[in-house]
Amino acid sequence: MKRTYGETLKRLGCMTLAALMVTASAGCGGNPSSEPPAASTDAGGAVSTENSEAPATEDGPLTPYADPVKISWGVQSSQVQVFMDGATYDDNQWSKKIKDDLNIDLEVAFSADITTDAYKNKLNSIIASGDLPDVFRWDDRTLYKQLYENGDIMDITDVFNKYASDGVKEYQTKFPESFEGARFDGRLYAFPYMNDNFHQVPYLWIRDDWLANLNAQPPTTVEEMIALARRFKNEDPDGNGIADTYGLGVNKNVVIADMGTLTGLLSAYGIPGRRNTAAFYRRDGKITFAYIQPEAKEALAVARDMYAEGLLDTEFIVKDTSVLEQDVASGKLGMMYHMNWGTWYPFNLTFESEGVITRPYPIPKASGYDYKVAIEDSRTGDLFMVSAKCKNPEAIIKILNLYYETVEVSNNPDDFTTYWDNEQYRLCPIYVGIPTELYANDVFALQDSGDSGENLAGMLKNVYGFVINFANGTDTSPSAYGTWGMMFENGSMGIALKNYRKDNAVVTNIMAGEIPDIWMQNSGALGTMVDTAYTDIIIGNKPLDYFDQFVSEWLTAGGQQTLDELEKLYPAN
Amino acid sequence: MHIHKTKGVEHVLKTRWNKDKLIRELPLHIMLIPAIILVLIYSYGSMVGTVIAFQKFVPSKGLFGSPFVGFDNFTNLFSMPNIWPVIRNTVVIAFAKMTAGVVVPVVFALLLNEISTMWAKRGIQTIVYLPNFISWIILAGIFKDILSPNTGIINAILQQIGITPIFFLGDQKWFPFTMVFTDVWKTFGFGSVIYLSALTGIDPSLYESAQIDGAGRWKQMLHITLPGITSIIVLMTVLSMANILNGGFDQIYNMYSASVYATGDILDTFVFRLGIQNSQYAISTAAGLFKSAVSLVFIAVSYKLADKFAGYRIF
Amino acid sequence: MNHSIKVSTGRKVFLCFDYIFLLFIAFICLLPFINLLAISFSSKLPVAAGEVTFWPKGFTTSAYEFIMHNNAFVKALWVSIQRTLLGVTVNLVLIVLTAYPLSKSTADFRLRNVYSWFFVITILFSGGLIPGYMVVRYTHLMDTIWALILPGALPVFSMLVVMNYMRGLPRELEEAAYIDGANHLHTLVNVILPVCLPTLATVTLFSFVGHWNSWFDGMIYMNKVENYPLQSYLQTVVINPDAFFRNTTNASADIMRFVSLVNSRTSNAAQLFLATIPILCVYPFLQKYFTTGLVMGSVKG
Repeated sequence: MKRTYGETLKRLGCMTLAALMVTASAGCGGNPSSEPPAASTDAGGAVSTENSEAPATEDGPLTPYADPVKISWGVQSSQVQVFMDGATYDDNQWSKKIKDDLNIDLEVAFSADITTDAYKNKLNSIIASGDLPDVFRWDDRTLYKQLYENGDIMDITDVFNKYASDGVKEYQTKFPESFEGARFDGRLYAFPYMNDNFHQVPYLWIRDDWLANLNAQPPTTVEEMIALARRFKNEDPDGNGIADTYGLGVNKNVVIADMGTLTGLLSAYGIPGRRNTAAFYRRDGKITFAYIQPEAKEALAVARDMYAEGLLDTEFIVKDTSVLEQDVASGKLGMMYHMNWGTWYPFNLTFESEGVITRPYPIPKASGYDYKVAIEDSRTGDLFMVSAKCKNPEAIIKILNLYYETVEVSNNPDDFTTYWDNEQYRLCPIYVGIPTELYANDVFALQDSGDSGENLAGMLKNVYGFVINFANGTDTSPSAYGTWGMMFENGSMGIALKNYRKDNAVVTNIMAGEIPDIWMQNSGALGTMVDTAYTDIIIGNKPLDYFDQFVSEWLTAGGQQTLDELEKLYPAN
Repeated sequence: MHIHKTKGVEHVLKTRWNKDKLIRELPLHIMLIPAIILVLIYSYGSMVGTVIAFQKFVPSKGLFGSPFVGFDNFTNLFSMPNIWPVIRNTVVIAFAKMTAGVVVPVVFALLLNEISTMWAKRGIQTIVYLPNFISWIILAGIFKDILSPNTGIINAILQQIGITPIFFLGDQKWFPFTMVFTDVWKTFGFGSVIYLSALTGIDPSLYESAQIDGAGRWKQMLHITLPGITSIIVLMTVLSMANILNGGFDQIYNMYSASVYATGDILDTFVFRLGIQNSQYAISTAAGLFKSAVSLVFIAVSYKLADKFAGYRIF
Repeated sequence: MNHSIKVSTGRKVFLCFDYIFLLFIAFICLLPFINLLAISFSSKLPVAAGEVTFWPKGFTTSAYEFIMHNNAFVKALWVSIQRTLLGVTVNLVLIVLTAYPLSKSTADFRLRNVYSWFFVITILFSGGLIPGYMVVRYTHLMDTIWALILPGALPVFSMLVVMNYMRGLPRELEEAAYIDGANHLHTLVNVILPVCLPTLATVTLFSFVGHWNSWFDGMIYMNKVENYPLQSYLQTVVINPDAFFRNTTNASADIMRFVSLVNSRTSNAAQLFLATIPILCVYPFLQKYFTTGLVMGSVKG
């Protein structure tokens, strides 16, 4: 951990502030600094709300505490979390830095695996027994609302306004919707993680080498896509002399999954479909559900014909994401609808093994239809919540400030590797969304101007570095390929911003924080109806006209009632 | 199991033990104390939690702060579209698994018992109980491979003998059968452990005297071996009644798909899909309570039947 | 046990088919294990492509080397060993202490039926995740190894098996002891237990396997992933990505990346294989007690 000269200066500044702060806290709270931490922290909490209108005192965004304070947090752990030599969740470079710079002792309240149900189960149990850690991350908006109504989480509006550094406050203007989603009655009850929901829109991903081998062009219409699928299936695109390739990869979860769904095909017919909960949108002034639109029949007819012709895997109905992953890795699959992180997974596998680049294209369009793609409301997403029992909420904001200084704006390349790269940022109790989403516009502007990236600073430099270095072949690391696939000119983020947004095709899901009871009860059953009807129609178990019966059944089984409730909850302005 | 026999001996004992009965019984009570305390705290203590089934459960309000809603969760559960086919699927699959889960291990144990080569016996026994320890996530992947209609080895063999390929996991008719078969395959080895151990409890002198009487192997099996393990078979059958609504979540969840919901969707997978979005503990607790109640009825009835018709007191 | 000197033809044919049939069954049961083993010794890409069935492709021991250097695996293994040894001991003691009184007839122990149902009910009803968590928390077991042992201290199913076995024993055994003036504890330890070895071996195996394989309690009752027992740890290694995606309301890109990174099949297979070895080792040892046959010498005399 080498520090640059500038860093050292900044650090010195902090130390002087620390000296001042001793008097400050004594002055404000009337507590001698020799008091035990528990007592002084109590007073600190009171100060921040009572004196919120007072001019900012010396207790600034990065002022260290005179007496150590303790902050407990919930860790979303994972098997793949990398630790720098000997570090643990309890003791690592972040906990040291936070202690050194702010005099805050981090304490892991619990850690539970986020890639399984463990975190969810653990958190729910902890909530039920009332032992919330000071700060924790979670995405369940229903739970968020319950915690708010129950007074279990803290109103952090005042501490945020008082203690957040200017850079951190700027997020409010950069991501206003994320912040709006974190508010109740205009008060901030959590700090949003701020992911850009563009990662959910569909793209058509195609292997470069298959296109080249067949001397084919990327399809722009559904007809061309079918024709290309036919060639992929029949013309031995991998040149191994065996007919072992599929036309188009499809997940057994035809709409509710992330990889290999047919939402991209539905989108071509003007249906903005996303996972079940995010399929509500306003059409011609009325709220409706994507998968019951009459146009879906057109898309299903296409898929049905493709299945009958053998262009879809005849066994797709039992193939989930992990099997599709195998098909991609074994080079049987060259074209698939997928979300914007395809170069991270699963196409990283073929890149690693064969050096094959798979890239995203805008979804092929259907003539006579305006295509629509769906994103979830930015008001949904992960939140960092603060327990109502937290004695030093301002300490959490200070940690966030420190994160911002260290990761987002630091010019020291060591900071990037030590505190962010390789999932290291997750060792900090509070952080913001991954930079591919935060920096998209900046990176595209830089590519347009052909900037060398030499004079950039902070995180932007690193992200931009991945993109241009992958393009010129100097960096072929997984991170470079992953980032490139999203951020190069025609990468997935580029398509989202330049095509989808410009074509006015982006439709936002209507359902954000408020969820009708009837939907909570019935969403599973209604989702099952969509899955079953769509699958049966595609594989020919049911005639195409069964779609109409499905729609009426869906509406009577609670669908109509959900739509009515939604109209009340989300009135048109 | 207890076969009512030799009334005379019992009577003698009864009168003799009657005098100091209380004193004689006291140590038995004391022996039970540790288990009773632990079961009271951890099993009965958490059973209080089934109140969730009658609440609109909000985790942050806890067990006693959440509003009570009577039988709403049950009404909701049973008014779900397709709930009845789901219950039918569950019972069909669970019952087939229960039956096969008793018959196959018993038959296997009897066949293995005939083998006298010790190393072969032990070797086979060790191997067959292996599949029990591999999780369904892993096994599901393997089964998808070998059961595939296009590339799977099973269908390749079927084609050799002139049978058209069967889509075991994608065909509504075949799916329940496949679930029962693969489940039996996974568990029969481990299930046979208990019968093999019961077989050793049979008094060897019985076989000796049977041989002297000139009874063949088949007769020995019918008249000595089988009766010798009947009590444990009855016990296992009655206890397996608790599974009448357990279709096997892990297995089915990892192998089913929308195309086989009609015959393969069971209560647990159904409830799981209901609750996924909103951590609906209430409805899944209601489903669990329903399952427990049904199991209790089945166990109690089979307990009575075993007692009445076969004279077995199981517990 | 095979005393017959002359073996009939029919029996020969039967035995021949019996051997062939059982060997065939055993072979089929071995297949997934061979598959796992082959995957664990293969290199990553043929595995990702689903090309490995029963023979390794691109042979490598890197998965095992990775595990040897993987602290988490070794740590979890240690937790599991402790938990299993302690848990099996507690289970056995309670099983014996409970099964013996309940094996008495109602005449000898008037409340036995009440007690029996008291225990049987717990097989059927359970409170579920959150109540279970709260009980463990209020008894201050959270994050200790006892949280994995005490809630299941008495495996009722195993207890019933042992109790039944005890009831099947000849009454003369006890009678003799009683006449000799032995008290209950003495009878249990010196007379009953020695002849219960096969059934005790069986329930020991069940307890061992139960403790070794349970994972859910570890995930919920341990506050730190570092304290997970082996199977809880493995659970976080072998995941079904679809289940995860369906389960999240709005998965963030960074968590999705985690999920995709976890899927390393080769090391998963190696870890699963290693985790099964202890069971393989314990089994033949316990098996001894129920394959050699029990000599009820004390009765026959």
